Formats: sequence, structure tokens, C-alpha cells
Amino acid sequence: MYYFDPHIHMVSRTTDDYETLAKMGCVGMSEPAFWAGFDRGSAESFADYFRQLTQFEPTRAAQYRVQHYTWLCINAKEAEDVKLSREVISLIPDFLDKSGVLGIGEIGLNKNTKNEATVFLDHLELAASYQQQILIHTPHLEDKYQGTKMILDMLCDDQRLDHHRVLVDHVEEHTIREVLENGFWAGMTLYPVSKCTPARAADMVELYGPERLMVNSAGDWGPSKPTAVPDFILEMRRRGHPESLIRKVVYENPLEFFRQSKGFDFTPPDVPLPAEL
Amino acid sequence: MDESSNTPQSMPAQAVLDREYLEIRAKLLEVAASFDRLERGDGSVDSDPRMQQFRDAMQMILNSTGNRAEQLQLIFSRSYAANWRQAFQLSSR
Repeated sequence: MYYFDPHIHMVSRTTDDYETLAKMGCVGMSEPAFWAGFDRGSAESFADYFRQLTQFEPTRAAQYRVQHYTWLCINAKEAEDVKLSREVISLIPDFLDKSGVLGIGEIGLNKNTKNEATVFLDHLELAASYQQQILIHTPHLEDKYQGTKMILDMLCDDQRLDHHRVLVDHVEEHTIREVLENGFWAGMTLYPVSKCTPARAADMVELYGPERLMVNSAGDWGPSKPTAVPDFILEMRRRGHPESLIRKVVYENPLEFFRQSKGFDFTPPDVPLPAEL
Repeated sequence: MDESSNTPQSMPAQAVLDREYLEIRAKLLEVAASFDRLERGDGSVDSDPRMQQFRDAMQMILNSTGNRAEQLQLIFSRSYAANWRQAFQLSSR
């Protein structure tokens, strides 16, 4: 089965991972900007990172016929530095028309501080000003419930935002309902120890239905499994769910959401690429 | 939500039990062994608030029905205060 991983950090992965993902049916992916494992010292570092996301990674992915898209922002962990954050945010408009840029993300909260909320609101301002889609990072573990509620408060306060153009990621059992009830898309991240397992993600599909739901691996530089989406596909199959339902969650839903972005020029794998016509 | 008609069917309970019996047994065994390890170690962690979270979680699993996973998540979550924006002196945009 073809699938699309809507949230994976390929800058942290080897080229071998692209090959493995392609062999397992991954035909597309979107990569939000995030933390590098250490705090960067200047806005110039982010400019280089944005070039990596918009130029280098799509080229690397294309070698394996994987179509790569990206989102730009300064992530919540580094957003504690408001001055640096505002310098980085000022760089983003120059990249928004680059090929494969889908919008602003992954923005959100980490420890739910005032500075993080301030920078989050600055990002919302940027997204609204440039009519960009938004990909949201929700905090982990004990901070998730509080942080998700705060994020939803800020999103729902802003009357300029179309909730159907916002994906709230890393939802779990205690946050998914409110995200969906407010009309947002929701992403379930399959990740060891923190976040969600394939079985619990399948449970949430059974509880809430497949509408506006996606699963992703968030494969990054930490302990993570870039092939987690195929694990979810297998879990759904073992439970006897129809292929049409699984395909909706892992392929059709991401495409439906991303097609709202003008930067999304996805070529389905069963259609010849332009070079072959 | 108006998409509830799309909600997929869950497996029959007997099929879930047959499939997951050994897995659930193994998970319970891991928890029991972890508590034994905590007890064997030097010193005591009984008064650590995280131990109370564990006790609350196990009580909830035994006594509740329905959305246990959601309830367990909330036991391990920081609370939310609706007036957080006033506390931060942040205004809506």
C-alpha cells in the first residue's frame, strides 16, 4: 500500500532510510522545521536550515521517488528566546514561495511558557498574513494536556484562521477529542516511550473514525522509527479493517489536507512523472 | 462530530482477548517486576509524588470502565487553568 508520512524529520535520517521507506510504500512526506537537538546560536543557522529543507532534502528524497515537502518556523524549544525567534520569523516570507513549502510549522508549545506563547502568536500572525496552512506541535508527556488546551485557545481566538487548514499533531487519548470537535485535523505520532503506539492509534481510529485523522512517524534524531506508519498499517490489517479505511488514513487524508496548500504539487505514484511523458 | 457513521468496527472482545492475552500478561509482569525493583533498592520512594501517580493509575484501571487510557493520561498531566492568558498578560490577536 502506498502511504504518505505527514510528519518526519529526514534531515536527521540517513539516505538508507529514504531507500527503506520507499521500499515500504512511502511515496511522499512532509517535514516540519524543528529542534536540532541543540539550540542554534543565530538566525543565519536557520536560514541555512531552511535551504536544507527546501533544496537539499527534496533532491535526496527524489532519488528514491519519494516526494518531499516542508514547513518552516522556529520550533517551540528555541522559541524561549523571543529576540532570536523574531529574527528567524522575519526570514520566513522569502522562503514561502519556494517549491514544496506547505506552510508554517511545526509551531506550538514545549513547556507552556509565556515566551513560547508569544512566539506562537507571532507565527499565527505570519500564517494569517500570508494565508499559509499551519502544522502544530503539541507538548509531550505531562505538558501535553495543558499545552494543547492553551494552543486551542489561541487558535480559536484568531478569527482569521480556517480550522480545516490547521493540523494539530501528536494528539493522544486526552487531547484528540477537543482537536477534532473544533474542526482541526489531528495527527497521531507513532513514537517509542512518549507519544503513541500503533495499537493505540488504531484504537483512536476505531473510537473517532477516520475523518481528519492522520498517522506519522516523526522519525528524527532521537530514538524513533521512521517505518512506524507501516507498523500502523499492519496493526489495522490484523484487526480486520478494510484496505479502504487504512488507505484513507495513511494516504487520502494527508493528500486532502495538503492539497489546500499552493505549494503542494504532488504527483500520484500511478501517474507517470512529467519526465516520463 | 457528524462523521460518526464512518466509525470503524472494533474486534469482538473474545478475539481481542485471544490475541492480546499474552501481551497483557507480559505488560503486567513488567509493571510488577518494576515495583519489586523499586522495593529492593536502597532507600524509599514511597513519598515521591510519582509513586502516588502510579497508585492512582492502578486504582483507576481497576475501578473504571470505558475511557481508561484517557483517564490515565490525565493522571500524569499538569492541570489547565482557563485564565492562563491573564496570568501571562497576553492578549488575543
